[in-house]
Amino acid sequence: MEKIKDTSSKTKDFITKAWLWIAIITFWYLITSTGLIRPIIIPPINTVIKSFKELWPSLPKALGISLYMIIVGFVLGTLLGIGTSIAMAYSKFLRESFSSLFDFIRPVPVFALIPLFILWFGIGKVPQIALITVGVSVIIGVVTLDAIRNIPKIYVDAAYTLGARKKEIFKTIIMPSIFPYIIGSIRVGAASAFGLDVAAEFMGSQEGLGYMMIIQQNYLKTNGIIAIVLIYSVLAYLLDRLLCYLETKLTYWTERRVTGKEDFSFYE
Amino acid sequence: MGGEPNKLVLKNVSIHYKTKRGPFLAVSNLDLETKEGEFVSIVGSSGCGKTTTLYSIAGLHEVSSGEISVDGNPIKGPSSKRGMVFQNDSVFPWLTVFQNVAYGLKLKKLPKEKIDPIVNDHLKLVGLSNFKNVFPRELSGGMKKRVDLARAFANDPEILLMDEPFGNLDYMTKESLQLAILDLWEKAHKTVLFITHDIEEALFLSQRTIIMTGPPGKIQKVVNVPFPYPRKVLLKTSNVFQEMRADLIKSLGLSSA
Repeated sequence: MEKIKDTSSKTKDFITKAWLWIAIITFWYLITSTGLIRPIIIPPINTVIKSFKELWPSLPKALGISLYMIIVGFVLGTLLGIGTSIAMAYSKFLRESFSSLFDFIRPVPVFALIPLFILWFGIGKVPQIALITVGVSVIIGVVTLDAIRNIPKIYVDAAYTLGARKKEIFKTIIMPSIFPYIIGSIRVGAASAFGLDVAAEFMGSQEGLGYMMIIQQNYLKTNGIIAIVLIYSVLAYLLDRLLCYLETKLTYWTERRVTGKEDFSFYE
Repeated sequence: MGGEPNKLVLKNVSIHYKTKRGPFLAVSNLDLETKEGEFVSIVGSSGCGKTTTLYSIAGLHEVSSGEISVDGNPIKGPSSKRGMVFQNDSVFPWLTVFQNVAYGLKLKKLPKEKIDPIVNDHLKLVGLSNFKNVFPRELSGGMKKRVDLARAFANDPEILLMDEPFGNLDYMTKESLQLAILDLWEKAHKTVLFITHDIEEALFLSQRTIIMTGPPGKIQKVVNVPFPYPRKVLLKTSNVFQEMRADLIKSLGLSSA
């Protein structure tokens, strides 16, 4: 296929990928420059760029704080989610003791816990990281448990007849084989870590990107809010790309198509 | 052979399966013995309880009553002494061909210098030397089966249990794997219990063929297969072979069909 591709089809490729972006930006420009819509609802593009410049000096610190909380919360949440699920799959005692409790806790909206967390941990980074951790671990925990449940029994049977014991089954069969099935939830967890961070910072924070957003809102600076939303989008996008990259490195053995590349050509 | 002690003994074994409607009797009062190094095959139609029997011998399924013993010791759960080749593909997709064959040896904590030659020898025996570092997704069904065979033999079990290993393969692949398995068996002389629904395959491979009917599974007939080893593919077309085959077809109650 590669050989038949000439320059004209490359331009065609570029157009299919770019037209929607160009359309959105043009539309944005048109509705704001014609005064069709008030700047407080949708500000002109140039004011968004301007507020980037204004925010620039305070960005590194805010970015550092928010990223720190997101990354720490995301990593802890991922480990907690995978860890509890594996422990529950491993031990019948843990499974039977904890499953009903977990089933009860899981549907509770994490955001409803914010006031409690503030009461327990005070204002600051701890309740915010705790919130992200819990939110992420719930998402990843459910999927991990399901992935373990759906491991083809034949792999476990084969390992047993090759001399594996339970501990070795978990280490050599369950851990590697669940990975392709939980990577999707890890990506969802990463994306929601950003959302949880914003919510956490809205509730009680004196620093960070979300806090900056609240300040912009207080001064009715829609352009500033959009600028910060864009920063969040870029960060979330970059983290997602990183996870996709790690996935292709770690699951090169699967027959599944690589996620992150929307390839549906198999039914076209 | 007659004087040797029994290797694997099933005494009055019954096996139940849990179903939604309650326990289902899959195997009933089965007695079976094999000698050390013997190649025995079990033939029967689908659902007659032969696979269940094999899973129980592997230690993957509990018996409801009776006893399964190896060298006189009752079995307790699965063990590397009883290796198994499954009907469906059981090659671990996250390991390379080499790592798959080395899996059991690594569990035994053998040093690398010992693992490498064993794995290489077995890959050579099944003709996969050039695919060592390939992941299973790049292999055909027949090649994956070869990995399964090499993995089971390389682990050096005392008894090899084979559950219709070639059931899903085309005729040509099947025939070349039958020769591969005879080759492996003649070199290692393991006790082999081979399950199949293919009478021709059973006669071609084994020293003794057992006809099983069910459910509940029980032994209907035992036939000694007199052909000397090494066996050649053309044996299958000989008159004596075809007559034995016809006899077995009759005893399975298929002659009127």
